[in-house]
Amino acid sequence: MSPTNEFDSHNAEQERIERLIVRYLDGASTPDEADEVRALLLKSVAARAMLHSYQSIDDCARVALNSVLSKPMAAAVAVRTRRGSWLAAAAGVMAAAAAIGLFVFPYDAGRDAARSPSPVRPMLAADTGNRSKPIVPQWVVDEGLSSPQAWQQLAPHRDVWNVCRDCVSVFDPQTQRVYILDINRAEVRTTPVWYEH
Amino acid sequence: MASLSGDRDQELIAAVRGGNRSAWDSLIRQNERWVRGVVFSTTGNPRIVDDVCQQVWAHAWQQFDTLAHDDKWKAWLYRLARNAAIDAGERAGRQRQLYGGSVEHAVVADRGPTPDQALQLQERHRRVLSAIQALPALYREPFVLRHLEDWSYEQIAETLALPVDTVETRLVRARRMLRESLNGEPV
Repeated sequence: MSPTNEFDSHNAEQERIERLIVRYLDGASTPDEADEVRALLLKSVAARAMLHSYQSIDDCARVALNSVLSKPMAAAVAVRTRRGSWLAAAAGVMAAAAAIGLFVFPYDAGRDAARSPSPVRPMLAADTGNRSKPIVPQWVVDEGLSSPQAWQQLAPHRDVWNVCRDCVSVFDPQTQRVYILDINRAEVRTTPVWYEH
Repeated sequence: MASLSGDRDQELIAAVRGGNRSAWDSLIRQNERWVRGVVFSTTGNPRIVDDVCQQVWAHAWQQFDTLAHDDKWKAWLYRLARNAAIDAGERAGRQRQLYGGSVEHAVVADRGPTPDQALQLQERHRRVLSAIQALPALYREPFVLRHLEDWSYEQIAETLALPVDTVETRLVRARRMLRESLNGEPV
């Protein structure tokens, strides 16, 4: 043990002081504990070093964590678009509303021959918005459109889709909705996400 | 202690049950930051937080009817977030094994008064973030909730379903580990 550290020979005492300092930094001290910490800081270099060190770590951690984690969820799935703030706003709502409702519709084989460049719109139905209504997820065969790349090619505007691990989002300018297509290897589940002005 | 799921959450949950869709949006906005914190602290990987959070909110909506006690909303959401994060972390681990990808560090953007200072700050924050990522999840979780959301020990304990003393001990140890891992480096 280093003789230069006045705490080292008293591990139990060091732990008690460490706990006091952490409680002090976290604003969890009782008035008596706070007084004890202040007195300790006056007389102990090691205590001051510990407080300074923990305070610096706390400050850095707050900034670092906020930088990484505080962006709104909307930004996480921002639709890449050159169409300006309106679509950006749609993208914002998209992610926030990603869990709003799930309506899944069976694949209509009759559409196959006349599949539009956008495979999305025909597969969606109106939102009733009725939360109390039971939702029965249903998987549909996607006929080879399961990969993000396939959806990308068929999406009407290549710059208004976004792919994350398990989904593709597509903004439909006609219905002014953002759709999230939840991708599975063999199946596709469509999830309309509402965008309201 | 008053319930952690505050009045606002309770109102929103009631509104969601009544079919109010915008209440769900508000509920997400109100809780998304700490959910992101849980996902990050479980996986230690900021790059998968966005994806996992999407899944968490989708699952939360799908399973909303299974929320039996509204005052347990945060604990319920915490479990969903943690499970999704564990699954995603395992998938990411498998992908790293398959493709030999390296763990990437998130770029922490800082605005400093000068480019040099900004760089120094950025580097400092990156080191601290790396050290946080290297903490065992056990300690990282309360540390992140404390520093991201400024939650009290009691709030963290209620969400993580742990005794307050345990939370306090983990916070002390987390800081000690960070201090040791950053030992000698000016923070």
